[in-house]
Order: sequence, then C-alpha cells, then structure tokens
Amino acid sequence: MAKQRKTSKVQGNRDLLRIASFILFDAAVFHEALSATHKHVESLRRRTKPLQSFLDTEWQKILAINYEPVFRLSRDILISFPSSQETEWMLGRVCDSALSAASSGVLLRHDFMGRVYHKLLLRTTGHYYATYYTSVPAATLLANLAVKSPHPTWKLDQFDDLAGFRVIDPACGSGTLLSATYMALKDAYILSRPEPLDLAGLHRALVTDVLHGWDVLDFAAHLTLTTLSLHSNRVSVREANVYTLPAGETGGAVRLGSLDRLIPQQELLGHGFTRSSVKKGLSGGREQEVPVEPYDLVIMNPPFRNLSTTLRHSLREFSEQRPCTAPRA
Amino acid sequence: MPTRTGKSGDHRFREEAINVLLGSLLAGRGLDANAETIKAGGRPDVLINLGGLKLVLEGRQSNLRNVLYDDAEARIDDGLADFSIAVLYPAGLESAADMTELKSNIEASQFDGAIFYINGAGIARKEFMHASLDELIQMINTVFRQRVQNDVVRQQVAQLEGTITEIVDRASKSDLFFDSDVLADRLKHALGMSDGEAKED
Repeated sequence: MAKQRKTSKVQGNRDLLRIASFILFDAAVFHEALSATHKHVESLRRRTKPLQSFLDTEWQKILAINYEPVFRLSRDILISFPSSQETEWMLGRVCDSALSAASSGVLLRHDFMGRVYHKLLLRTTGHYYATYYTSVPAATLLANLAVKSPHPTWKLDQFDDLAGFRVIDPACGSGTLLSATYMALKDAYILSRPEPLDLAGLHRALVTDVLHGWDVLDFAAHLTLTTLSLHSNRVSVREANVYTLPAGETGGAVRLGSLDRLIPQQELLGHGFTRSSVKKGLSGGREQEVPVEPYDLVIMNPPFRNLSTTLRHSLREFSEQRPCTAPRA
Repeated sequence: MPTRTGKSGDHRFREEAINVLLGSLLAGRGLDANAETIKAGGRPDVLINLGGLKLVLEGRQSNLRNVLYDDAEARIDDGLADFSIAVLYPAGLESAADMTELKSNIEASQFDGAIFYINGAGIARKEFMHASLDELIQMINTVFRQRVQNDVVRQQVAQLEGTITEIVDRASKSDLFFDSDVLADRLKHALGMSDGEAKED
C-alpha cells in the first residue's frame, strides 16, 4: 500500500513537472516573439546566466508593460523552482526548444500549443479532469458554420457591431474553439472589405471584448490566452475574459465549474487573468467575480464526463431540480 | 490563356508596379500579410510575410513562363523565401489610365502560374490556371496550411515532447526537484491543482 502511494506520488510529480515545463515553454515562445517587437525585451538568443534570473527579469519587464494575462502564471511557476544547476539545465532546454519553435515563425499563428497540449498533456490531465481535445479541423468547421451561417440579427461586417459581439466557450481547454472562432470572425471582417482594414484593432477587440473562455484548469486558461494573444504578437493586450472556475469540493461547498452559471442567485466566482479584476478574497484572495454577459454565441465541446462520485451526484441533483433551465451548449 | 477584363489606358505600368500592387491586394484580402518590396538579384520582388513564413511573389508577362518559373524556384533555392508564387500577367494588363484603373484591372483578371514550395522530395510545383485573386489566396493558404500541418508542427511537437520527457526523466532520477514536497506544493498552487482534485475518480 505504501509502495503504491509512493509510485502514485512519483507519477504525480512527473505530471506536475511535465505541465510546468510546458507552461514555461509556452511563455518562452511568447517571450521570443515579443522580443522582436519590443526593443527592451531581450531575446532568448542573448540570454545570460543564471537563466532563472534572466527570465524572471525579462518576464517582469513584459508584465510591467502588458501581457499580464499570459505571463503571470508562467512567472509563478518559474520562481517556484529552486535556484540550482538542475533548474538552469531545465530552463536551458526549454529555451532551446522555444527558440526552435519561434524561429519557425509559423507556429505563432496556429494551434501548435493545442496540439502539444493534446499530445503531451492529455494523458496527464485527462484522467483527473475529463479533458477532451477538440481537433483543429473540427473546431474550424464548427466555428465557420456558426459564424458564417446567415443569422437574422448578427451583423459581423461592421467593426463596431463585431466588437459588440460576444462569444463564450464555457469549457475552453487550450482555446482551440475560441481560436477557430477568432479566425472565422476575422474572415467575416476581412471579407466585408472594410476601409481602412484595422487588423490590430480587430485583434484587440476580439481578445479583450468578444471572446470569453472558462475552464476548471488554470493552465488550460493560460494556454487559451496564449493561443489567442499569439494571433498577433505585435498588438499588446491588457485585458482578457478567460477565467478559471473552481470545480470540486471547496470549503464544504460543491462547485461545478461553468455549470454554476446556471444557478440564478449564485455569484460566479473564479480566477481571472486581468489586472483590473475585482478580488473577492476567497481561496487565498485569488477568486473574483466573473462578469457574466448575454452571449450571442456559445461554442463548446462539453467535457462533463468522468466526474467523481460526489460531483456526479451533485450534478444529478442539480439537473433534476432544473430540468428545463439549462441552456443547450 | 490568361484573360482580363477592364478598359485599356494610356499608361504602361512596369511589371514591378503590378507586382507590388498585386501583393498589396492579396495582403488586403485576408492573407494577413505585410507586403514589401525587396531587392533580390538586381530586380525587385514582392515579399509577403505570411505568419512567419516568407512568400515571394513574382509576376511577368505571359510569354515569359519558363523564365518566370525558373526565377520563382530560385527564390526558394536561394533561401530567400519559404515558398514562392509565379503569376503570369494577361496581355494588356499593364495598360491603364492610372493606378485606380490598374487596381480594378488586376481585381478583375484571371491568372495562370504556379506555386513553388518545399516538400519532403525537394521543391514542388503546383500550377494553376484562370485563377481569380480570391482563388490565388485560397491556393496560397492551402500550401501554407499543408506545410504547417505536415512538416513544421509535427516536427516541433516531436521535438518538444522529447525535451519535456528528457526534463522529467532527469528530474526523476536526480530527486533534486522533489526530495521534499515544497516544490510540488508550490507548483500545484501555481497551477491551481489541489490534492483533492488530483485524486478524483
């Protein structure tokens, strides 16, 4: 029994390190992309030792200007590691991989992170969190069908109307569906032949206003932010509407992630990635009220399976009490 | 044969001007590209940055097909571009009253030509005929996606997978990272993963 526990702990630690390494890689790729457009952000090619201090300094610079949504979690992870040769070696390998990825350039515009998430991390996290990867072609098809099918009230060919459009993926994972929706909305905008063509403004509007994502995993929400932000690394974003919602038993209460949204009187709390969010003081002061808006489009790949007995029971009770109120995803 | 519609004018525009205008029209129609003119081998080309990949656009009169194809292929061979597009301009396209009319003429034209790109077997050529501007964009995007999906992404995912596995294996052997629960607890906190959640089902 003790041996079993030890094996489980070792495997758990391996999983943690796997996820942490990936988040560091994710930030390093973004860092390198930003260094091309922000002179005072040093490229990974010019990194100095100790590497942990170098990255910490550069990421603080990036955080000071902007991109808090993307770099806050990465820096938290970076400074969690002890200062040691092993850490330096690990960060060196992460930076080498990031440089290789960034130098190919094209990775910044595609769902590379999502694919890696699928290949590397699904087996790590899927068992615990019932995560299901949405393939890029399926996401593209779904987003295009949703956005480009005629709709009586949607006007997506004018910038102001588009900026007022609201989309949510209540289980956004690595952001594949939101990323595909980004592309579909961008297509709709470009095909309307706007004069002038304001792609920078469009990017800012899509990331800070239009696209909303919720997930129960911090690092999944982080990946969503990175994926969306990397659609244009030349345009900085200060705010985003991606939140991590609690799931499971916390403080004697059972939380159901985005399903909590369906309880009319319950305030929806979660972890945001925005600088100006309102802190609510729960869970170490990290939870805040998640703003809920009327959404024009809900797009998702429902993951609500493989739940614990307690959660399954709560979910059953919940659905029995509100058989008709749950909106269809 | 390439065809074009639109009125002919008094001015004859140089091929380079048509190249630049065609590049900017492609960029304005969804390629999300920064079109700029570069000097390469003594003549200007149009370089389009397409999501980090470089696309060179070469255009010539339709009677210069072989020269054009050779030049377009050479751009990849020289390392100037990741892929290139050779566009044969229909006869008379260069004649227009002004830039506005030239733009209209280009928008209304159909083009023959070829896209050159690297695949596993070297430089591949994909020819097209009677393609409108929108069809040109579709073909460029198709080649772009094929390259991204089939080559670079797979390679990079494999490389990163190797790196992360290497990191995890080395950490497991050294026990340096996890000789106590401190790091694990810090990482769990940062990642929002509590013990309770990790033990579900």
